[in-house]
Amino acid sequence: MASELFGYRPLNTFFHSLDPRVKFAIFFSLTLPAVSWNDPIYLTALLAAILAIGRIAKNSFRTTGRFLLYLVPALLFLLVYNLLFYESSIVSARPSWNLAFLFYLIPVKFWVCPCGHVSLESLVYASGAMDRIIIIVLSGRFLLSVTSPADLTSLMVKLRIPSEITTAINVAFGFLPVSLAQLTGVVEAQRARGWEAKSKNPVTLVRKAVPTIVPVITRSLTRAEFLAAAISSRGYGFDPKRRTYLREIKFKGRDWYTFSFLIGFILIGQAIGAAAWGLGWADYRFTTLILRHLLGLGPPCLWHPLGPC
Amino acid sequence: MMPRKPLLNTRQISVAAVLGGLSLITEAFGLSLPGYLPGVNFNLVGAYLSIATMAAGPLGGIIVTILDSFTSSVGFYGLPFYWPHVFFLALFYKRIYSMKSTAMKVVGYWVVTAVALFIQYWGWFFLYVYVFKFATTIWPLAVYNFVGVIPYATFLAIYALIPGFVLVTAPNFVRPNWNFPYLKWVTAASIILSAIAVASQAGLR
Repeated sequence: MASELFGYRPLNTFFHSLDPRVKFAIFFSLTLPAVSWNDPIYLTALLAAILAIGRIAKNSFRTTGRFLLYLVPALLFLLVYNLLFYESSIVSARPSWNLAFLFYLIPVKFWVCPCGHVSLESLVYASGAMDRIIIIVLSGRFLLSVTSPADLTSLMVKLRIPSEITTAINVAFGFLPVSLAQLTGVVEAQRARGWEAKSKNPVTLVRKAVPTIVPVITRSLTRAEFLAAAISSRGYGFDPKRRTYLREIKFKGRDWYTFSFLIGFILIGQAIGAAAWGLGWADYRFTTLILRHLLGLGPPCLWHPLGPC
Repeated sequence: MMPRKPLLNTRQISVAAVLGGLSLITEAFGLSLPGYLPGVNFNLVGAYLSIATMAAGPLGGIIVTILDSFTSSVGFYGLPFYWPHVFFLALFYKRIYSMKSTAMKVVGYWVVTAVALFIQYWGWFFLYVYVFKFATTIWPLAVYNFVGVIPYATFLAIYALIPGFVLVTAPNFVRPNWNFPYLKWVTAASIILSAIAVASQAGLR
């Protein structure tokens, strides 16, 4: 039940069978470069890698595509923001050459317009920003699609997170069907009474949501008291430090190989990325220069876009 | 060897679990208020984490944030950015709870929540600028949230309205029977870390 809420499917794939620590290492090895690089070529390669490993983990492209649809507003915002404000907000990462003008975002003559000066450079920068957000979101999605809730709490135990926290999280996962039934019950009952939370003003929306949220919370408070009694009656809390567990996670051969590969990937990838960035190759300006060459716009220097030729 | 004292009692565990579970479900079903940022809504986690912090202390609030991050639109990245709010609220909550006048209690709660939310915001600006690159510097976000008033007012309503109601109507439930070691210092550290993070993104690229 809990797993369905965040997209976990119990399948028998290589990625499903890995230790949860390795799965988190995969997540970090995919997102760390995405945060530190801004070159769309590098980022698109990383995105292709995520889609490929997602496919190996039997995540269908259709589901991924449907999930990406939710990102469309954020991606459009990123695109428009970066196109509109590139010239005023990018200072140190601005190319040393004149920007290649493409078109105006608002071409009509009106007041201060035509405005929204779109250049090749701003378009490349914006596409890198969009790539990055897709990578971060899809990596998180991948992590949750191959990691069961039980694995996550086992991981927390292994990381020596206090048993009170892992117990609370375990209880929450076990309790999700009850909480879900309670939430839908309250929402349906209020809808039957004509409740509707629609308004353009968010503050009014909060006020309108109160008749549903209040019964949900008050019922939860009552339920929490019963739950506490149930946990106490089972003797919880005698010696939390020396609790025993039915299942403990352990690194196997494939976990070691994969983990070593990932550590190597992170270190070499970051080192190459840092060295390349110093030369300007992993920077968005490198891709811009390639495009300028292809479009015959005559860039100053291809092999070192940040410095003199 | 003496067994260690539990960090949370069974009641606090169950409060954190129930509210955290609700927060996870609320996020998973998209029961949030649209219009904060494109692709990011006004989520209701604030109400749950505030009540959990009041009833179970900072650890209760932290558990709610962990559970919420499983289905949150920003994922695990958003997790630590709620914590300055949790610690700040916890730091002043016992004083608010012990106030005799109900009106003063409510006013105190809203004021502390408003300050905690203001502090929490800056960490989120860092996340949106450094990780998600929603903007190239924190200032457009600061103007949108604080000068634009509505985003801040909406979140303040989410964080304070229902928890304030619970504080007044069910005071026994949210009685602060918890202790958290070095809370003053942990709160200060979380605020300083947020300030450093956000200062790193205050300039132009």
